[in-house]
Amino acid sequence: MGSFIFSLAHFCETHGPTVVLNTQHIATEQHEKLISSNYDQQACESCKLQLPGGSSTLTSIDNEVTYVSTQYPTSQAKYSILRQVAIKCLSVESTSELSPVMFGDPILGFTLACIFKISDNTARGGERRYSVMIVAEDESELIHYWNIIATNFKEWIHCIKQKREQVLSRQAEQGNNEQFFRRTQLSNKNMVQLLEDPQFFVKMHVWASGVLKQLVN
Amino acid sequence: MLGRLFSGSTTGTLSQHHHSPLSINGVLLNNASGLNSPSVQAGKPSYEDSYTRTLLYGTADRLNPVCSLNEFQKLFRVVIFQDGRVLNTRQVLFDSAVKQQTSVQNGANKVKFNLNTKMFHNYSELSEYMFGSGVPINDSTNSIKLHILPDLPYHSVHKVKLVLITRLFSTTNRFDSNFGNHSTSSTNAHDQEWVTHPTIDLSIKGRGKRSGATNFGIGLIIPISLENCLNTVIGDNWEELTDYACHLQFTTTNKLQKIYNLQQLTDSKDKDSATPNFSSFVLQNDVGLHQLFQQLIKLMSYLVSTPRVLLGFSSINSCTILNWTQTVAYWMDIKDGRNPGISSTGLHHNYNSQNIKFLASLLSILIPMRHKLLNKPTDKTKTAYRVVIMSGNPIISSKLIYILTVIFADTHLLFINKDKQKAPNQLPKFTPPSFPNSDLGMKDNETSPIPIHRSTTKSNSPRTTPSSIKIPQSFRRPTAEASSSVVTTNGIITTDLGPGQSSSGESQGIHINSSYNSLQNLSTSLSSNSVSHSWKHHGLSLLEKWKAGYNPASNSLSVDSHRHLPITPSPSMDYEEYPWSQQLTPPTSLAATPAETPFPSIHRAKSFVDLHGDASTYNNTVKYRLDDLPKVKRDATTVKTIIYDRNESSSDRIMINTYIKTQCEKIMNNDDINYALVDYPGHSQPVLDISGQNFTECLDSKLNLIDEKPDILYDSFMFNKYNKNHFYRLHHAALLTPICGFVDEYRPEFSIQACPISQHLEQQIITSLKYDTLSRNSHDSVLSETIFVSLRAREIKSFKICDEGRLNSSGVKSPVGDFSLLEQLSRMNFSGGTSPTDHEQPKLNSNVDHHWDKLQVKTKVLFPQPLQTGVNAAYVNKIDSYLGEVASLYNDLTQFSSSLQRRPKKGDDVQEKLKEAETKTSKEVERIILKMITSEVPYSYSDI
Repeated sequence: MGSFIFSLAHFCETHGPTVVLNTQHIATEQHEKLISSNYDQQACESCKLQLPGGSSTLTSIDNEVTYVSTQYPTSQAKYSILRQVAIKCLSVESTSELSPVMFGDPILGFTLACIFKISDNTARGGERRYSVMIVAEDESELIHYWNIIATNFKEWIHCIKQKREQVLSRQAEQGNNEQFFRRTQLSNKNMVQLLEDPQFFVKMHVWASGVLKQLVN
Repeated sequence: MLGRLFSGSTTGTLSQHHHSPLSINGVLLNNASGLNSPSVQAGKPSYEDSYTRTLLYGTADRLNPVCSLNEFQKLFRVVIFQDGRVLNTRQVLFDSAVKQQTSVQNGANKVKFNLNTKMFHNYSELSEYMFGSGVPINDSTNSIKLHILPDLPYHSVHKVKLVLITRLFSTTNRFDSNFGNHSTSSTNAHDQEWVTHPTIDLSIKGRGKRSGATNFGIGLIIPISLENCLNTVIGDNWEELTDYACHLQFTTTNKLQKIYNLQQLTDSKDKDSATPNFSSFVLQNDVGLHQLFQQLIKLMSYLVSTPRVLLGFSSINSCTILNWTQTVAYWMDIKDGRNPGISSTGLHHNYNSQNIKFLASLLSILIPMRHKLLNKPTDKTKTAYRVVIMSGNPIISSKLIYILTVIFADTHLLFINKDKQKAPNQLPKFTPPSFPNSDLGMKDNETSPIPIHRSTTKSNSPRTTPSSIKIPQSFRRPTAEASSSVVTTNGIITTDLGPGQSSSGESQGIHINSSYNSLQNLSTSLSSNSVSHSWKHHGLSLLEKWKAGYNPASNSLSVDSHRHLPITPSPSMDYEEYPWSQQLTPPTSLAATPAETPFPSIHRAKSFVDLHGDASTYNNTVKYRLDDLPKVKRDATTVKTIIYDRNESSSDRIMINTYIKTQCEKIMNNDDINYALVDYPGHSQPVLDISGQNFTECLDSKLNLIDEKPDILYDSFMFNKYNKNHFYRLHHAALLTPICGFVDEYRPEFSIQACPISQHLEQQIITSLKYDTLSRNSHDSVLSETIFVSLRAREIKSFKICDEGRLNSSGVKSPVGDFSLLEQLSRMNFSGGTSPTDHEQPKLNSNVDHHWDKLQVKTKVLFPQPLQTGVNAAYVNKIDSYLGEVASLYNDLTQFSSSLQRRPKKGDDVQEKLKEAETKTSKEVERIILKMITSEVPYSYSDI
């Protein structure tokens, strides 16, 4: 069984493709290896992993396997890989929205990704681009799990979009005319702000751990 | 006129494939006929009767592929691009979807390539998917991509999705290659935290653009009927598809190299600095690429539509065990010539040990390698193992495969995508060869006759009068010289049976004499190399059969009604021709010439059931038994559900998509996730911990992708311990192992298969072996091995290729830089070619042959001679005695059954007693099977 890394990447208007969250699985006795202290406090709002209680790491111990979510992986090699994969996914690869794409090579490993957009009037082009990805060491293993991963991606993205629509309709009901003055509204926003959900990344961690659990089991 | 002739000759599938060119520059595509092979066509014939189908596949239903590729064959597409590295400089070099039109303008021929854009995506869109858009990445390594293409109006109407598989590679102007270098699999030599495992590693050293390198992209477009089929059509066959893509890469590079070299002859540019640059559609008229494109369709059709055997099913309960027992008993009696008699006590059948022990020998070879056969031969990380049964009789070969599946009876292996890593650990223990080598006594190609004598058997019947038969010349290892004329003569003269002997009578024994004779003395063609199966012979065979008791009125062989066992087939019938088959119509594609026709045209054969004497009784029993089997919901290649309680409704099943949807919604809508903030020493921020109940509560407890009650089928012998209400449910279809029944041509993708007689088959196997060595990253010294079983010649051969001499000094597999060689070899591997319609003999040219001779394919005849001597003989005898026990148990059961039904005692519940006896027999057989497959192997198979 090769290892899988789940990741949420974002195309930041300031920094370009950035990894916002990554979730890894590891044997419970070794899980401290993955707990990161490299929390980037200088990151912009858009790139920031915003967790409750000022935390920078999430863990879930499930028997012998622990799922750890951080903004960046502690391993230099994995950090480099995730960065390159994020760039490829959001800047190079061409795919239609919500259509899963797989790409990989013997150096970076193999990635199954789904790109989606969140509408935001305050963003450039009126939308923000995100990508959910699973990077795997083993090519055939990843492809064999296509249905599970792709279905999870689609459903989760659907949930995010639905929540965003609820937020937008709520904002529309409040009748905020300031929204039309785009210049005054321009700012970097992360998912917590876009969905008005302070626990979004906690939920994301639980969901990603659930997906990884299905794969590593 | 010629055009009409050609157009008239293209029928069926090929004609539907409108854009598939039949001829390129006047050259007719030889392999076009391959698409007309029965398996590829929608109306694929079934080579098994419903009874055999049930036993092999778990259901009597015709198994349809999960995704029908036939109706969308015209949407298959192969496209090759060159990436010019500058925007808008991507050239199409080849596209299987274009139509070529030539017009004359100003006295010059002008060629126009038309693409139907209603059905096919245009080039700019395709190239964007293949090479990407936006930021150009300096990426010269071999990479792979998979896209689901957006629907065009045609696709929406026909409800079809197109999947694009892209293989990117680069080559320099010297067209050098470093195939097989596995040194780049990890990102960093000292950092092994990320070690990748590509399906096929054709990576080149280093990363980044090499000087003068040009990128190329190969796109395979495969239609699937639903997006959900992607896993079954693409994911489950990923190894085969990547293998095909690599093959296309070899071919393309070889062809481009030739074109480039020609360009260089006429170009004065500096060869070293020139970057290869090719004009549009430069490969469009290449016949080889068009043939390869057709092979893609064929490959996918075979992979998706060939039914795979449901392992473990043969030993699922007492009924299936009894069916297996019955099949073995018949094989032992009729095929192996094991002669039953009645013991002195008159209660138990004694089987003499003088028989040809074909089945025991075969099992003794396969049992040690049984776990290895569960891997895909195309899996480049493991050694490729195959068993190929060459037979002209689909039914008999299916029966043999059914018998052989028992070697997997104790394993937990049912599906290919499960227990992938477990197999090697479950191998039976090998004891070191503690016997002197001389005991092995095996010599290649030994041809001395084996003096087999029939022992005296006790019987009241004159028909089972013991006779001592010396095995004549014909039992010697078959040679090409042992032609049919000798055999036919033997068939008529040397038989011990007169017509009277085979008529029904008062015999209590099985009519084994003639069968034995037919096995020992007769063979129409005694070599696996020889395919002299003539119509004349069939005529003689009919005559013989008539002489031997064939009853033309009933169109069936005479049977001994008391024993409910089939009468011996005609001596002139071949080993593989025991008439278990139902009426078979020879597939048109296989009936090329009478000399090579593998199917007998005369329907002297009736089904296994028909031969059982009292057919109605037997049919009833079989029906009862099959009804008692679990309900299997499956398609050709995957299993979804196995329900033990046949009354259980399957309407309450929730499939994986619903589970996932529920889970995602549950997590997203949960605004009160409980967590704890935990301080870790050395970390400035607290860690947010969601563990234990908090974690499991967040996830839907119903969502558990681990299969329910996995032990039921995995450990098939455990079944009886479970309540019958249990069912085995898979949340997603699981791919079955690449073991199939009879296929109409040799397919290297399957590990166990039976295929028709062909004189090219051995050459095909050798080619597959050689092709297997390419980029194989197996840690085993053996790279590929095939056990070849010729039922006609009663011969078992081993073809093996080791990596001797293939390792360079660094221990890494040496690169193979000869694209011409790679192309030829891979073309032969993919072309199938065992079909009699394929007249092109697959043979490497002498130059290539010379290169590949270094790979040293070792061929050994394992049966009849080597296994019957020394230590191996002891093991074979052991297996044979187990099989003999099984056959005896079955005969005891049938005798008990018939006596019970003939003379039922008052107050006896016949059915109850019968059931008791069956249960007892099945348990005993179960015990024997376990003993047989787990018994110690007294030699390492590689020493044979």
